[in-house]
Amino acid sequence: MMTFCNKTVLVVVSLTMFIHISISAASDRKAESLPKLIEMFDTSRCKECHGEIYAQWERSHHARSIMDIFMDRYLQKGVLSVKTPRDATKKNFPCFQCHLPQLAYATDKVASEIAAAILNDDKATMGKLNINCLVCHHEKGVIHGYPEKGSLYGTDTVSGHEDEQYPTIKASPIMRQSVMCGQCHGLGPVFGLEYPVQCATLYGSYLHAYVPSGGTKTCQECHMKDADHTCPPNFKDRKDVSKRLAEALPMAVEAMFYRPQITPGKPVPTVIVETRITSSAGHRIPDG
Amino acid sequence: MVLDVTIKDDMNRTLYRSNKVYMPQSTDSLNNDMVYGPTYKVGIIRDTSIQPFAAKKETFEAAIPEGVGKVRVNVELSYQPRPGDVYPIHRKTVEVGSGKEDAP
Repeated sequence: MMTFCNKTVLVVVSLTMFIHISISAASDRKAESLPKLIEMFDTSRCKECHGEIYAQWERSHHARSIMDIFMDRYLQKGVLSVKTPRDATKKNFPCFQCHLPQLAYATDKVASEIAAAILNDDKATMGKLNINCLVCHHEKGVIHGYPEKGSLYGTDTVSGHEDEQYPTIKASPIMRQSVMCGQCHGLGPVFGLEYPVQCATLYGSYLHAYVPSGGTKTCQECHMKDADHTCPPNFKDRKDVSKRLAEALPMAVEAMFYRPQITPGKPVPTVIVETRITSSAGHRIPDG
Repeated sequence: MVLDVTIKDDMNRTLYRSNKVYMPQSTDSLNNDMVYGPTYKVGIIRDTSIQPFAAKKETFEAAIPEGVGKVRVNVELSYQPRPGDVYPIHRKTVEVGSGKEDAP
């Protein structure tokens, strides 16, 4: 019979092997330069066959995930600041767990190159760093275990995918489920970092407010209707954002003019305004 | 998210103005001061945002000067991620009278 001590040793050895395997899996393809990282995650060839979806994605926030997030400010002031871009390491980019998860496959030197691009406002380079096809359909495509080399993940299995690097497309059930989006769209504070950060909290709101209230829709049903890879809202499309918010948050207003007389003999002309806003969204509005 | 309520008389003079702000509010968990920015926020301390399936109801009571006849109530809901960055959502106007304007 196995003793408690033996069991403990077995668990520790197993965990060590597990950690070693997972780190190995990531480190055996670490990019040592920014151009190499961009090349590793280049998805421009996807548009040859998936032109419409690729064009939708190009209009999405996912396509500019490190732009408009004020990363330059964080590198200049606060706990993530650096004196020069050369001082930046991957620790300076906790936001990139979601905004550029590819960074896990790069060295600290790449982080310093990204810092230089951000601080020099090099939009051409920043535009190549994004949440692209490979992030969702490979890196984040499965949550039970790690993505398999050469496999992409979709809603259905597809045989004979015409791509040398990714010849296989496997069905991943999470692709239709909110947990897919929840990997990045936030539960609340992100711990496990030297300094915690808090960005999106929408998935937390979905889990703890929408679902307990009887909500049954998935993120994809509202934000990826008909597999729309623009994943609205697009905050650059201001009219559409206003329209979506108006649909999600109907508002009723009633008003009355009367003369209450709380103190006898002293009526006060008063207008009462009643407003009622309801929400059909699957999360708090606004987030932040 | 900001709800603005303005009441004006028929001369377009503002008689009343009020607003409500709907948003989650976070501190850095070092003290009770609200902070902005993902590198500072750690934990929501108060949340007035609009919740799924939960109606947000407000009542505004505005004392109006004697002698005012009709008033125009403007109610605007907008999304304002940053000061001055306004996404209009709803704009509703309701006219109400004191009941005396048509009295003989």
